[in-house]
Amino acid sequence: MRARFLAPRPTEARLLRIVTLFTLLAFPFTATALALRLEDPVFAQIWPALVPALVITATLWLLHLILRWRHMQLEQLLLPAIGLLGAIGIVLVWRLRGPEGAWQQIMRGWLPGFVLIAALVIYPRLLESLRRSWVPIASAVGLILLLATAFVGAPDEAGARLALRLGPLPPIQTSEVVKLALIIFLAWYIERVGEEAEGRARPIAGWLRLPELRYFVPGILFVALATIALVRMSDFGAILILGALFVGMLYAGFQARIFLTIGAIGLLLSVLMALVLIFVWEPPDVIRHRFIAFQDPWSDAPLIVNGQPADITVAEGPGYQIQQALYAIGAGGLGGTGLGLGTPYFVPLAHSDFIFAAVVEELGGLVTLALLALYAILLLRLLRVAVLLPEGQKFERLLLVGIAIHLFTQVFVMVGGTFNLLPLTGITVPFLSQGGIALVVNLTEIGIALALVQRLEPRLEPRA
Amino acid sequence: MSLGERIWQVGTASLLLMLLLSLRLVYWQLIRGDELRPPIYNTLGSAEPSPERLLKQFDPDSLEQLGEMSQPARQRTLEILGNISRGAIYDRNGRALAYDVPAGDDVIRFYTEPSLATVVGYVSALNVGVTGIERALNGSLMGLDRLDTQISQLTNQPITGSDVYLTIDSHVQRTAAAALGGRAGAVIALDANDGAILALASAPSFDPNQILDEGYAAALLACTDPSCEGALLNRATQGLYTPGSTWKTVTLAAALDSGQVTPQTVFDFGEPRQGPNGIYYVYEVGGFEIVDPNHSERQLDLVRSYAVSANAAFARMGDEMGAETFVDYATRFGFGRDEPPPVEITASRAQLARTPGALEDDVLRASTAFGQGELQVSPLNMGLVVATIVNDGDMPRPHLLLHLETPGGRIYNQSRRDVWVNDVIRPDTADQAEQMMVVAVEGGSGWRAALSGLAVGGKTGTAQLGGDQEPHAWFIGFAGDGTRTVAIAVLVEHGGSGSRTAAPIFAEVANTALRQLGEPVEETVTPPSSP
Repeated sequence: MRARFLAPRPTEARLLRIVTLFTLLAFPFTATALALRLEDPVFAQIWPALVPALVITATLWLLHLILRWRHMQLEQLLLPAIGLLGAIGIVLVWRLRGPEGAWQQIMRGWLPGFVLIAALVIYPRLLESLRRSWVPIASAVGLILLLATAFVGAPDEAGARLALRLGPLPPIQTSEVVKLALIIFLAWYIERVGEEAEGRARPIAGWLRLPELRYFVPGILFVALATIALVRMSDFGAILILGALFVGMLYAGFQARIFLTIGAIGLLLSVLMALVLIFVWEPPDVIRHRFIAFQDPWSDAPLIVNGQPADITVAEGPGYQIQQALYAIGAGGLGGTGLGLGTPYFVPLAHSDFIFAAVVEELGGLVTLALLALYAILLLRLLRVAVLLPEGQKFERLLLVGIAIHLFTQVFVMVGGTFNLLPLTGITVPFLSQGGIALVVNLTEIGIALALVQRLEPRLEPRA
Repeated sequence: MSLGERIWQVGTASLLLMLLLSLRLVYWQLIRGDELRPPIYNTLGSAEPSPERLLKQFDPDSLEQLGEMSQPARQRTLEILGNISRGAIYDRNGRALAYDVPAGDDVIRFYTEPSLATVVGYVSALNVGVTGIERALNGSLMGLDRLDTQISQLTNQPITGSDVYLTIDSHVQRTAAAALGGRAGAVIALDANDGAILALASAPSFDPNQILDEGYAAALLACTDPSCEGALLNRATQGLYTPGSTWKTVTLAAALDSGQVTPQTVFDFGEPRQGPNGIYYVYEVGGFEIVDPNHSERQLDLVRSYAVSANAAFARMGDEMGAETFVDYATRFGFGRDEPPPVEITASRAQLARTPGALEDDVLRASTAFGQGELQVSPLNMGLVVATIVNDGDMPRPHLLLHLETPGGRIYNQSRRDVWVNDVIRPDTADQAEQMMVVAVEGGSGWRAALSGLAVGGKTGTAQLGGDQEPHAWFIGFAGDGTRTVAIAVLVEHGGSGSRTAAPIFAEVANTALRQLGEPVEETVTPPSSP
């Protein structure tokens, strides 16, 4: 028996009002600032800027209503958090790439992503059937995409193969899809073999347990994938994310004593593979240069290309982007220049990989810290759902752990690259960066989380 | 350990890494932040940049670094500079001395008066002041000293700098430069009462419109020919020379003010000696003989001694005055101080003696007292000595800035009468010294400086340099028409006799400054035509 047609979600509504206010102000303000700078007529720019703001807020409120209609009362922070991040992202893309870029982001990323969220929320059984019968297919699709990208993918300007070009279509960034497929596979695998592995493990060295050989599939899979990513795709970021996913999900999924054994063996395999690579494999210049640039972006040592010193220095080549990002950080200061008033367009790829350089320059260091905190909140809320789900739903719990780790490592790797804490790599920052498929995947992950939240709802009544 | 607990451990590990990210951001912004800001940012951020900070930010070294700085930093600096239109520099009558001429997307700084090259200075290729007024008032010329530009800067709006009006009068300036007639030297003319500099000529000079040409600049720096050696130096404020007999004015003022002598004091020079060029006198001190060939009379009172420039009388005054009084007065007149005269452009500190305390030595003090010794002074210093005497014993603060004007026409930072050193000498002493300077022109060595209808006083100087070098020719003096009095110092390097070489230059400049102030001048340099 239902008391009301819509369940209350007061916190979410309150937070969404703030996000709405921000969005409706940010777009016209940014447009005004840009028009003033270019000495364009201001009023002609304000109205077109309000349209994407209205679309963004409308999607958010629509999903809010769907959640209430689904009688969900838990997890009221997720939607406002991704709403704010997404709005900031699209306003920055608007600012850096113009209205076309922002509309592309909305049409190819934001709207499809929200359709998927809505689908997952309205038909939570999709997840159930995914677990029961679609995992092998999803994994196979992921693997095929990965191999296809690695071997026939279109290399980007830095030489990394991250996109698949299919005929006349725009290139598809497959790497994020592959990572989601991997998360699904690992969650399914660990659930299936986890208990068995523990049961059949042989004790070695006292407390440690060694499971049967076939339980090493994940470790071997990791080494294989990482090698492919390195050798074929020159994708350093993928290795970090793959590593974080494997370590994090295996750690969460297995007993410590088994994890340590598999981990040790996986480490051994990795070291062996690394040794082999050192001798037989010349690292592509891209990866080597990024590492040199990471150590000192201002270095005026000449670049070594194909064993020969090139006539450009590290500072002019791979260090340039990092320098630009750091100068953007310096120019922004704690308060930032204000949206539309800085010069983040000096930073190459500020609209995608280096979005955080633009965030720091125009919104300031304090807002950046707040955004990082927002990501941390997102991470913790996702993990909280994973913890609250019942013991028996191990697949779903591990799925959420994987999703949280995926979101987190994307932020950490890319922001770490922007802040020169890690060598540079080309991936997108979740919800902020321009990028269609990547945004869809990230939003789908939130959709999965929201679908799983429904299982926690005490008063949820099944809808036919 | 349950799955739930392990999940929280994964969360904790992630949070720690996230904290690392935040710390990295804090590191770049707070610890390395200054390195990451283009040099100009630091100035833009403050409403009133202090001169020290401006000098630091815009010294030529840091500009060279700008040329060498990494492309991203340069790019950002240029972006900021590109938003700024530099103000113009005018003389006191509103004649433009320096202004921006559009050249395509860029601008060229154009200078109309080559004789002011070392005063107005020049800008770097980035249109930032490197020397002279361009550097000293860079903040105002870029509009960084005004509140309204702070708002423009915040909204990235174009900034227009303030215009600078100088106390220089183009006509007087031209006269002074022309009077030097191609000889190396300097002329400085200031309003004796308020320290406003009317003309500041230094020769040889250079063409500021060509200085950014690397070949031109290199040739200038390498030049050893008298026609261009040291052209970048402003000889009037930075050049240091032996003052010769003009210094006797300082000794005279000190001796009068300390009560050592009165105008009636009579000096007996003893038995004259016979030399190849006629008779001369000597003043013996510490076993040394100071030679005095400037007169034939055995006895002279103080007035005549000054008028004929009797070395022996001044050596004796210095000797008998004692080091403490001597150094005290010299310091009050601006010599041997830690600070140079506080004019806007770079000036040198005058040297009294090479080592402090050296003037305890009677011989050095006696020879210093008549203008030789180890004295090293600038024409500006000597001009200020004259101004002090005319100005009843207070030394005015020398200045070039008349006022600043915002693009909206608001005038600010108007120069006002200001004193550098108060009570250098008493007003009555100043009066007596002034009278004696008049006598020195009317019936003494400075007769070539006399101008009919004007009250003129002055002192010649012929600074012996040792060896067979021609001495430096000096003349310092004042001329007044009853309402205004100008103090002028003239120096001609290796010009020989001060009376013959320097005094006529004084007369010409003084006449122009009092009778033709503000007369229009003909433009001699054509501005680059904008495409």
